[in-house]
Formats: sequence, C-alpha cells, structure tokens
Amino acid sequence: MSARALSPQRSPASNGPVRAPAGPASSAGPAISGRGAPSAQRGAEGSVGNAALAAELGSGAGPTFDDGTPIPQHRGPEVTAGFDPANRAARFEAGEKGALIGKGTDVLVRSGQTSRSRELGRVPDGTPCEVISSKGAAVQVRVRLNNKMVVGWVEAASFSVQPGMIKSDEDPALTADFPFAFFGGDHDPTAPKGTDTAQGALGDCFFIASMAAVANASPAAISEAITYDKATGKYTVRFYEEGRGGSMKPVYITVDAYLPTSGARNDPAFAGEPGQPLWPAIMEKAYAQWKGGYDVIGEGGVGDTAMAEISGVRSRSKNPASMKESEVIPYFEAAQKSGLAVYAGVRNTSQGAVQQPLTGGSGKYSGQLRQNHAWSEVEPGTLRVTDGKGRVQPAYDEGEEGDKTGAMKGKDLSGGSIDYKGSRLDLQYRSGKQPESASDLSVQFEFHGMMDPAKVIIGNHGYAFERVVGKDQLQFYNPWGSYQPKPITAAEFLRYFDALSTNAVPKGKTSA
Amino acid sequence: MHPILTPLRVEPGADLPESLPADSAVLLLPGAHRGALFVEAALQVDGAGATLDAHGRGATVHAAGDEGLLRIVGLRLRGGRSELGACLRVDGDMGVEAEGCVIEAGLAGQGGDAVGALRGRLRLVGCQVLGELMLTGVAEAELVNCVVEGDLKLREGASLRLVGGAVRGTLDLRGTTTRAPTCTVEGTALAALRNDPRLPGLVMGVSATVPGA
Repeated sequence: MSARALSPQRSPASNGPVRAPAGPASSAGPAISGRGAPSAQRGAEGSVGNAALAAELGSGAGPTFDDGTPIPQHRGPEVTAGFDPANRAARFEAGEKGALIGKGTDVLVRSGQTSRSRELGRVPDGTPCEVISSKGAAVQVRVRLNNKMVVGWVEAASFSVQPGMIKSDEDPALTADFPFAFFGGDHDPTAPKGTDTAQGALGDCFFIASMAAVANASPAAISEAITYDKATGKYTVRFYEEGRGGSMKPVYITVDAYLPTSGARNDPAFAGEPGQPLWPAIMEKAYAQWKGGYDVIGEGGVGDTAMAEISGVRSRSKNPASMKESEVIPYFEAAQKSGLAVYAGVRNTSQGAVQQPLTGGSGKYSGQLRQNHAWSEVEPGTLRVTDGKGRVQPAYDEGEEGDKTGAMKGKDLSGGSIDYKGSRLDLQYRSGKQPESASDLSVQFEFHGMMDPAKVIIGNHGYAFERVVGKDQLQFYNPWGSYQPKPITAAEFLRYFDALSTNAVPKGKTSA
Repeated sequence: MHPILTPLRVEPGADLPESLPADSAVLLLPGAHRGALFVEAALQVDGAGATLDAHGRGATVHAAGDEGLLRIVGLRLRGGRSELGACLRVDGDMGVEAEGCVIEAGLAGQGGDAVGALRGRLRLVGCQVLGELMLTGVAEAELVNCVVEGDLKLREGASLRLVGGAVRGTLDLRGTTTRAPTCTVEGTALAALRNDPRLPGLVMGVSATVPGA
C-alpha cells in the first residue's frame, strides 16, 4: 500500500505553466574557480533569455537562432579554439579530450615536439586522444597506437577538442575504438520526430529517450534548439540549465560535425544510424560536451532532468508505484491530449520464477538456472537456495553489482559458486549435510536483462511514450530504434516501470 | 510557529492512508509497516521504533511537492526501488527533514541506492545512511552528525553542508562545464575524497580526518 500524502494527485495535464527562460537563480552559479573549463564555456550568466543575450552580445551580425537572436559565437571551446591558431595550442590544458584529425590521412605521432624527433607511428584519422601538455605548435597527447596507449607529440593543427570518449570494457587503460569521422549535410532538422533517434554503443538511454519524447511532443522544440553556421561548419545547440526554484537558464554549446564511429566511417557509434537524420547525434554530442564527455553521459542519468534541459521547462516526476492500475491509462490519455513529453524508465531487475534446476547427490549439486531470455542474467546478491524439507540451511550469494561470478555461502555449505552471466550454479555441502533429494532445493533470484520477452521490455532502460493504443494499452518507443515493445497494459506498466516524468514542452514558433 | 497536530496513528500491518490533507501528522507505531509514501505537501511522520518497507514498490519515501516541509522522525526506511534515491527520493522543491532515522540501501539504477535528490532542501540530523547518498541537479542538503556508510556523490549544481558525523565511503564531486557542486565540511570524518580533476567541485572547510585527495 502506498500512501500518497497529501495533496490530490496531479494529472499530467496539470504540469504547470510553461516557464519562460528566466534569469539565473541566485545559486545557479556556484564558485567554479580553479576548474579546468575556460570561463567562456559557462553559459549566459546574467542574461535573461535570448533577448538579453542579444543585448549582451551587442551585435546583430552573424548567424542567429530561429527567434532572431544571434548565436553567441564566443561561447564554446570549438569556436574559440578555431579562430586563432597561434593561441590555440596555448589553450590546451592537461586532460583535454579530443581527436587527431588528418582530414582523410593518418596523423603522425612523434617522440618529441620537433620535426626531428623520432616517429612513433601514425594513427588513423579521427583517433581519440587526451592532452598531456602543449608547447608552441605541438601538443603532447596520450593516444592509442598499435593497440597500446602511448604518449607522443602531434601538430597542434591536427588536434580537435571533442567530448571525452568511453573506456574500453576489456582494458580500462584503453579508450574504446570509436574514431571520429566528419558527417556533412543534413544541417537543419525541419521535422524531427522521436523515431529519428537510435541509441548506439553508449549507455545514455535516458537522454536519447528524452530527445525522442520531446520530439514527439514538439518537433519545433528540437529544430529551434539546433542552429548550423555555414561559416564555421559548426552547430550550436541550446540547452537549459535548471536553477533553484525552477528557473531555467539557456546554455549554448557549439560542436563540429565530427562524430564517433564504429565499423564503417559513415556509421555513428552512438546516437544515429547511416541514412538517418543527423540531429540526434549532434544534440547528443553537444550534451556530452556540456556534461564533460561521452563517458560521463554514458554512466546514465535521469529523464526528468534531461527533458527539462532540452525543453527549457521543468519536468514533473511521478512514482509509478504510487499509482493505482485504474489511474494509469487516464494519466497517459491526459498526457497525450495535453501534448506532453513523457519519459518512462524500466526497473533494473525483476524476480525470476522459483525453480528446481539442481541435480546431483552426495552433497554435490549443480544446475543451469532457467532464464526468460538469452540476455537475462542473475543479479548478483539476490540468489537464495532453500531446502523444502529443511534438512540444510539456506544458501545465498554475496556478489555485488558488476561481479561476473560469486561464491555461495551458507551454514551447511563447504563451497559453491554462481556464474551470473551463464546462470550456472554449483553447490557443495559439508560432510554429513545434504538434502534428501536435489529436487528439494528451490532456487530464487532476481535477474536483469529482458524483463518480458513477449512484450520486449528491457530492464534498466528508458523509453519515450508514444500513444495510448485502443482504450487500454500503452505504446512506448525504444530509443535503440529497434526491439520496439509491444503495447502493454496498465498492470504491465506498473509491473515493469519505476520512473515516470512528464514535460510540458513549448510548442515553438514553427510548430503546427 | 507550528500548528498543533493530532497525528493519525497507524498500527503495524495496517494500510497506510491513501491520501491526507496538507499539514497532517502520522504516527507509525513501533513495528513493521509495509508501504511507500508519495508526498506532495507538508507532512510530519513520527516513527520511533517503526520500519517502513516499500517492498520494491517505488521509493520508500518520495518527496515530490514544491512547497511545505516533510519531517520524518525516528523511522527506518527500507526496501525502496527507484531510478534515483531508492529509500528517500526528493525531486520537488519542498523541504525534507529527517531526524534520528536509519535509511537503508535499496535498488536505484541511476544512483543513490539509499538517498537521492534532484531538487529540494534536504536536512538529515543524527541519521544513519546505510548506502549511497547522491545529490544532483540543484539539490541542497545539510547532514548534521550523520553517518553515511556508502559513497556520497555530488553532481551538477548540488550543494552540501556536512557538520560532524562521518562518511565511510568516498565523498565524490563532479560538475559540468557550466557549474560545479559545492561541499562545506565542518569536522566530518571523511574516509576518502574524489574531486574530478576535469570538472571539479568546490570543497571547503575542515575534515576531522584528512583523506588522500
């Protein structure tokens, strides 16, 4: 039972008035002295919306947003870094993330900063790297060369600031193989829609699903947030930063069109697919640049916040567990009618069916735990084995998140292990202690992975709500762009989802 | 001046009230209570000797209102499940005060398996947090004489004041390119400190112990 203290439940339609971008909250700009980012990156502090920003900039020249205000060209590391090559190298700071851009050719890495220094080798065009130091027209970088991380010097002109890259799963000392490549064309998203999004090899489903939800609610909110500048070939994306009390401050992030790729050079590794609109990948890149890197947003996040950062309107979160089954469909119907963006997140684990998979005897038992799907794995720390006849004490695992295998513990056990990924269980009881029969041993555990194979509901994953189907089912969109879920009932929604946020996205000037 | 409240008494095992008017008070009698609280307006919950267990049905206590104060005294919170802040989640602007509470770790996919806040003003006094506490967004918090057994993570523009007590895990700060979390430490024992070198937060004050940064 949940007590919903205290006021009447908000319907999604009562999401509150759309807040115009307000000035900075008094606490929105905590002291950031000493941080690595240049002050020019800090956004439009002191401004109130685009009009104030225009006044601050004092010039109507140059590219503008759809509302006529100029794009703040002096903000954002890309633009600043590109204007004055003489100052460029001097700006690079230790730890700066980027890529080596050879414009179609490999990039030479040397042992020292001069042209006489020994050649360490050449890395492919677009290889991610990290700045160690810089001197004159040379930059010392840490870069992957022949499958080893090396430190060497490159020409400053070949270094381009890029969002930080994710680390290799196999070896955290290596960055994963996602070389950057240039993506031309598709400069102005005219009719963005949720189905344009396709999450790639980055764990930022919360952001991709939030983009999809906002695009579904208001395509103009997306198209008006992204502006392409022909002169520089770069994009500026407008996000909003929430201050205390719900104020929203615009933040402008400028990025180029080099995107991480996997396999083919025309295949974005993260958001985007070959032939799909480019805006999700550009918006994702700008978001990564803002938040500190692809690696940072790949750690996950909250849809409530991401939708607000895209739309400029504070989201409202609800606890699905506090909803009655009878409230679910009306809630989504009201959201749909009001044109709200809706993000929903699936719980990370679910209780597996009790089963008796063990065989063996004389104190040694083993078995393969049944999973509902090939993707599903035992959640560490949740496994429990009980003897229906009570001849041996319960056994349990002491694994923690991220473990691949775990030891089995229990008063009557002398050993045992669980392979979480392979779902293989082995138990060995102490001499003189054993169940009457292997079939007396029942196994319970929680699993992560595929929550419901029939409905294609994936655990620990964010979805964008699309529509109510018929009178009693909900259709969600999987930001992967594939493995789309089947329509689900209110009961299934409550069973699987543990996050729910709505956002009253402004419809924008160009919205129908 | 606080109004005089006549608390609604709830026996262990009894259903929690479906909804209550603002400024209500609830007394959870000692013992095990099953359920979760979704709070949108001012409420006082007294629960010395009582445990509130959500049994995986959402955050055990979810403060979603924008006004008023949620005050929890003496309660043990457990069994929560939420994307952020399994046993105590704050995502409204309201104030939340917990005194003498034990907040266990539940399941939270995006951080804060015990406590998580995106917004609001959180004040914990003499509490034990048996898991991770995560503050992000624009959450403000003050922990007075509390023990946090897990990590204490500050992200985005969150701010925290630590007074006394201890953090047994890592005090971990990371901002963005436009803002930084802040933490003031007044005599708190810190086991470890991690301040992201690229996007650092601001840590001020004096720790009772000096961890390696």
